Amino acid sequence: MTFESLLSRRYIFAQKRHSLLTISSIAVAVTLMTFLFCAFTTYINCISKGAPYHIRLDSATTELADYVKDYPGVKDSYSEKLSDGSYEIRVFFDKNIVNPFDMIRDIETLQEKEPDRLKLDPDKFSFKDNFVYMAFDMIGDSGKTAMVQYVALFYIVILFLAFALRLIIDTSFEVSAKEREKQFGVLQSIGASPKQIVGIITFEGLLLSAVGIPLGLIFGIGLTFLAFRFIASTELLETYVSDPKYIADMGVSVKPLLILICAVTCLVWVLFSAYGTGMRIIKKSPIQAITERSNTIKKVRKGSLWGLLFGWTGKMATRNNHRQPKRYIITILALTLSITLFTAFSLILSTADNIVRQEFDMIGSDIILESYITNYEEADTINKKIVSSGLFKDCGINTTFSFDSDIINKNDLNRYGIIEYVNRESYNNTLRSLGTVNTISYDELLSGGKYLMLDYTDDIIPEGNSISGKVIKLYEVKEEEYIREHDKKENKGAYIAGRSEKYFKREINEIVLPIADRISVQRSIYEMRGAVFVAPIELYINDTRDIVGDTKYVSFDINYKDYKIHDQAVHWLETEIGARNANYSDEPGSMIFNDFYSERHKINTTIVALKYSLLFVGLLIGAIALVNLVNIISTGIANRKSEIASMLCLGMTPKQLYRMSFIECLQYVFSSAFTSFLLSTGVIFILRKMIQSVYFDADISNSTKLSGMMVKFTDPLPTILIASAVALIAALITSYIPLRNMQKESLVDQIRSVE
Amino acid sequence: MDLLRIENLCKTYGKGDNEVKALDNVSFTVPKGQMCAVIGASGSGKSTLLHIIGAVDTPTSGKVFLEDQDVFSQNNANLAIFRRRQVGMIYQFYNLIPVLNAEENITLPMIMDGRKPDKAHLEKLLELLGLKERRLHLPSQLSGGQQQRVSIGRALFTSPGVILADEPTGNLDSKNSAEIMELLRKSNHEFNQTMLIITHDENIALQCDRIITLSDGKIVNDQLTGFAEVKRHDI
Repeated sequence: MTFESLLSRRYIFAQKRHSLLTISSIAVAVTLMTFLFCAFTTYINCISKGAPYHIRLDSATTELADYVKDYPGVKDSYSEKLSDGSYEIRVFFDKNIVNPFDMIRDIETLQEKEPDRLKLDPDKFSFKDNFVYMAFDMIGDSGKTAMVQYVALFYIVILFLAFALRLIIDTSFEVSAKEREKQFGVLQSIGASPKQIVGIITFEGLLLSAVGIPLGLIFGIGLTFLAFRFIASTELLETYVSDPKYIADMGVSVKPLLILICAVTCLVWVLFSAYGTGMRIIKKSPIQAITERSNTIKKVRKGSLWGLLFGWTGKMATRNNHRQPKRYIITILALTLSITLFTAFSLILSTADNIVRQEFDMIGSDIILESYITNYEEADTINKKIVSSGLFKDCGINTTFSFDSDIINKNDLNRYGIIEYVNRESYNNTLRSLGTVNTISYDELLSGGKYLMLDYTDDIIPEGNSISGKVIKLYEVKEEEYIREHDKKENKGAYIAGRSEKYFKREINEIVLPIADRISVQRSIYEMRGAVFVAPIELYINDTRDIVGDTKYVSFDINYKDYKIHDQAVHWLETEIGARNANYSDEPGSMIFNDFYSERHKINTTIVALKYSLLFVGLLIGAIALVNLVNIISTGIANRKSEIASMLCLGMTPKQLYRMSFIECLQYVFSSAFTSFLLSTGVIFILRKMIQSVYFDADISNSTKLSGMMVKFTDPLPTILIASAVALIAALITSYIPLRNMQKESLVDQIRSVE
Repeated sequence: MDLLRIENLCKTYGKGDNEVKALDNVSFTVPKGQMCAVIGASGSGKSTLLHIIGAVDTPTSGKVFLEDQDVFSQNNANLAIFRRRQVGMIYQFYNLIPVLNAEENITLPMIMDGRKPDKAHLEKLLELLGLKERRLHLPSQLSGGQQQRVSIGRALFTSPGVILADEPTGNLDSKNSAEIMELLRKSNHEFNQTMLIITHDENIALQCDRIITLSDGKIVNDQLTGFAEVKRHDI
């Protein structure tokens, strides 16, 4: 091994840039693998420590604890007495149990039949399952199936990553060995056997791995700790994984066996890559390797597009790139892979982000406060109070009136219309919840005094640009007046407000709604409604209040200024506005609010996590791509040093030289961008199929919502363009520096330089 | 005794209309210790002949015997050992390994063979080559003449049966050329090594024992020079 080790050690130190690139590639590969393994084991650790049960029974009793302990299929159960006197039972099942939820069904049945046996309070008794933990422990048939799915998914990701990283390691070995092909030929000509040549490259891989793998392991584990700290700070753990009381138990889990597997796998990749490169090298006879000019053009095209566009420098650049087809292809492949990976990850994450945002927007706002009031001024007062509290970001007002039109109900489908007068905040919330922004703005509606029409079907055709119908104007009267003037029982438009009955007089008024724009909204609630006409609240105050009557019901869409002061804001609503949480109050006539804090907060946290994931993946892939690109371009220029010097001697100006180099870089990037677009189209095709299969039987399968989630074939274009622009800039800088340095050296020395 | 025997050697590149016969039925023998020049115009097949004899290229047909052993009857691994032990190659552009210093480049074939270089032999050779002071320099730190000396040292170090030199002075000035030829003659004399030197330079060819002239892949002239006579008298 003396000869192989001597040469490989010398090459490593002599070709510092190549060695650094290879070490970085190995380190990046190991980092990613280690991170993925550690993240996986950490996730399992968090699942088992953060919610340490398969099923948790809340508001339980000692009787239930005894029952559970003896229940067939229960491996362990732990009961803990809480401060309110009730028990919390944590249950762990045996692998042989078919369906762990049978136990819950049996408890409920027993409680129903013999209430005195388990002594549970049916209103309070509840359970919570930790399905992921059950899956990892392979509990029940569904757990086993889920486990198979998780593991399959994990290995698909690992395989995909392994393939991508293997290519990157391959590229670095291939480029490095390609530069030394002639030297390997010389070595063979003076007696090195093919085995020894392969040995040199393989030994080189081994030595570089000795640095790259430990570095990668350290970075990977470090990255896991950093990621965990970041995740812990975003409340993702509380949201998705842990019970608050166990949060402190969670932490990073590093399994030595998995780390070893990771290191060995990466070592095997490196050795395979190195060995493969060596085998490719020795396929050539020594004389081929020594004398063959890998940059010989076999076929010269008379005209080229680049020549037409950029003149002779364009033609030269094309020939320069094409005379080393292998090198050109390797570069394109590496760049394409990086751009496509970046695009694919961006697409997957932006699609996930879109889906999550759709969910977020569907809810519309953090709080919906509903109030029955007497007039608009009352609503305005509440609005101003909410806005001036400083606890909320905005407050949307939405007041509705029913609208009866033959055009809407033309087929006697019992559909009715609704007029919604909204303020600016509420209008924007509505558009967000519909997943559209490309429509008329609030200001345009206001200046034109017009309405935005939202309808389920297209069969409601306005007459010209307006739609006429009737509104029922209600105005409050005293009981005596009501009884005196309206004896008919059915005219008693009474409703409960503050526990007092009110009496209204009814007046049917004609109204014409000028339509500014219409949006088709395929949601079941709109199917029932028929059509909704949205207009600015100012239109109501200034123009139509006399026609549609005074506001009787208003809902406020409120968003928290900061989720951290959620409790304070809720308390303010309860004390200052007198609102009651709909979850705890069914008091008739009270002002109630629905608090979507937890749902929105969960979604918001996910959006943040997705954004950071995209940033992280983007940076990583970008770094790999840039390292590759820098290496390939700089070695390419170094190899042509003598030739470039000759051209300068012949009278080529530095400007022409930079121009030629720019076109070469442009060709690399252009070809990679084009190939990436083709590959990304394939990725999108798969993504679209996946989204469709997830929603195929849901009633939203053809809805606006799904179309919002759907990835379009043109979606990757901006990402590809950005990635390509970054690659082009990097390539230009990489080529500019050595070219500038070359001009400082003597041309004669450069022409003479062979190695 | 003939050390090298070439029989009906043919080498063809390309196919059909693009077929080029680099060597066309070439046969000759070289006795041990002879210094033989191969001359001819560009494209006459000189380098191809040399590369085939050195087993870095393969013939289309024909045979090469070195010490009565059919060179191309061996497998790849044995061919490598053959190149390592029985042939020394010298190139016009030196083809040194840039990451190894002069001493390491010279001893490389021995290191490849898993053998420990003989220090005394190395010192003697470095002395002969005039490289004692430069032994630890990398190729990039040596002049063209010095690099060619290293290349010659590498070819001589394992004391192979035959030295093959492809325009060894082609890249050197006249002073360096003369020194290199002197060196080759010296080693030919001292170690009784058989040498085949490809050259364009008639003066160089005339310093050899024999001149073989190639044209279009065929031997068109093969004659001994005055040096052969001198050598015969020496013996």
